[in-house]
Amino acid sequence: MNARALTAACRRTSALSAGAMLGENPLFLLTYLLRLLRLAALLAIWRAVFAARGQVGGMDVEQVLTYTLLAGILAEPLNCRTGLDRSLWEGAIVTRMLQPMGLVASFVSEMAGRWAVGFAFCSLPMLLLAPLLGVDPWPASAAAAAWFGLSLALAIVVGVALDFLYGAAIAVLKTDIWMLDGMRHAVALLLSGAVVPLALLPWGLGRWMQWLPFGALASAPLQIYTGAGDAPMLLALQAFWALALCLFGRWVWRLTRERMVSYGG
Amino acid sequence: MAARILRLWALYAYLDGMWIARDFRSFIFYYLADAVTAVASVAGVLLLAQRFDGIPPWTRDQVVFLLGFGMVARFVPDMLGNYNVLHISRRIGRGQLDHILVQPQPVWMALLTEGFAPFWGLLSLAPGVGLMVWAGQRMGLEATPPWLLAFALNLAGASAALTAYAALWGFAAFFQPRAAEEISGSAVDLMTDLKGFPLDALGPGLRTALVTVIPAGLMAWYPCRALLGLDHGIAALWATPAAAAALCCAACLTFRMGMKRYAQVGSSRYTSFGHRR
Repeated sequence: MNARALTAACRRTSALSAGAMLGENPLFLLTYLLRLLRLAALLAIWRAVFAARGQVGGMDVEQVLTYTLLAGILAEPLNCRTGLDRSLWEGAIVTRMLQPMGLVASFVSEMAGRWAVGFAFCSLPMLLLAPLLGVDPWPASAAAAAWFGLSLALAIVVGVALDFLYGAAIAVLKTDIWMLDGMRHAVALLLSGAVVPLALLPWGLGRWMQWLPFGALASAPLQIYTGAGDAPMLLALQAFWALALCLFGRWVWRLTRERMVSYGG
Repeated sequence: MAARILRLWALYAYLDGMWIARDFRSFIFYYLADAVTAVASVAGVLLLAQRFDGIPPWTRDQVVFLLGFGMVARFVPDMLGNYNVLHISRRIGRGQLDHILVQPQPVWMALLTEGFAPFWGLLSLAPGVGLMVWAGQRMGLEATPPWLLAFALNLAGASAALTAYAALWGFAAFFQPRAAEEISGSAVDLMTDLKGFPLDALGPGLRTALVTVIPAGLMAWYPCRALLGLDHGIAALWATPAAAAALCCAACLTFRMGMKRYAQVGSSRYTSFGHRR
């Protein structure tokens, strides 16, 4: 499949995925409403935590609020879920493998379709509501905005690579995916800094955590956006993890491919 | 009837134990995953409380108690609600309610017992109890009989509130099987996401929403305010159990309405060939 055909196939897959979400799930707006409520609650909690305090861990309250707002707006890209685990669980992976566009392209296109719906119906309204929530949504500087774009792209690459490694782990362990999913969700939320910025953790834990691949998922792009981190260093770290995890993921996936089993629906 | 429930619980507990201990690798893996999930889910707030010496107006020890309470309150619905009983929308939406309806026992009894898995999630109970005891000792909390009674009532209320709330969302699947199958998961996630935070700083509107429409505040914040003396009114001690009772009544009514509809239309999620739509 050449590049143009692949691009067209990806675009169509994304459109199908977005259409399926809009058509089959009329209550999806409620899910987004819940996300907005969660964001409003977190913003209020941060204001209380920072009351009468200046900078903590190199961040002031304005930066933390922008960080939290952006984490809410970009919740999906900052925690990539391709749906590979469910596909393995239901045995649908078999038909995916027969498709000419390749597994990664297929899953990423579908994910992008879901994100498009989320962006239109949740992220954009959240961004527009930011002034009402008392949060400045703008990046720290023009340079921060530019670096942020690159950082977000790298975060997505790392996220997809981690998701495929997680899929490989499911194939190897042949265990209950819901248990693994719960563990992954809790660990990723903590280590990626998506809820609590790593810089605000005690005992300098954040300094250690940012070296982990999870730190490349949310903490790095959000720190760059809010001007709370060293952009070149964070980008280099993200690029390292993106490359290392893609290579490692490709190798592991090739090894586990034959061990993959269909669990049934 | 009580004897039958106990017999069924014993049966399901045995099955749960056998499932987890079917081999050493699975046993270790389940409990390791359980422990990591439990610790990671509260570590963020715990570390935040440590760094800021509490989350105003709560002191660090009070936040620790609140986290422990939330973990234990979540354990009970998890223990009784495995195999998609807590996420009942998945069963209804997929037409699996039929599996219960053909059994020679009442639906409520099947739902009360089928999801009983006491060994699953045990490692989220232990840290929860540990956090409460540790924080209680540091605060010099006196566990007098009236306080213990209030504690038990509020803990039961918090667990019942989550269960009833999950059921309320879940019963939406009677009316929108495809759409409600996942929304109930999101709603329950929001409850558990916010259960570890003191919600005092929220505006009155948001705070009211979080103890009524989405009662995340009832999971730990509101009952702990009463139990730790942050709210001295006697009504505060009864608010969580009362709200839980109201939610349970609402869930029962919704279930009846849903069953009426289910009796008429059944589930449309499967084609006549047995494939899911």
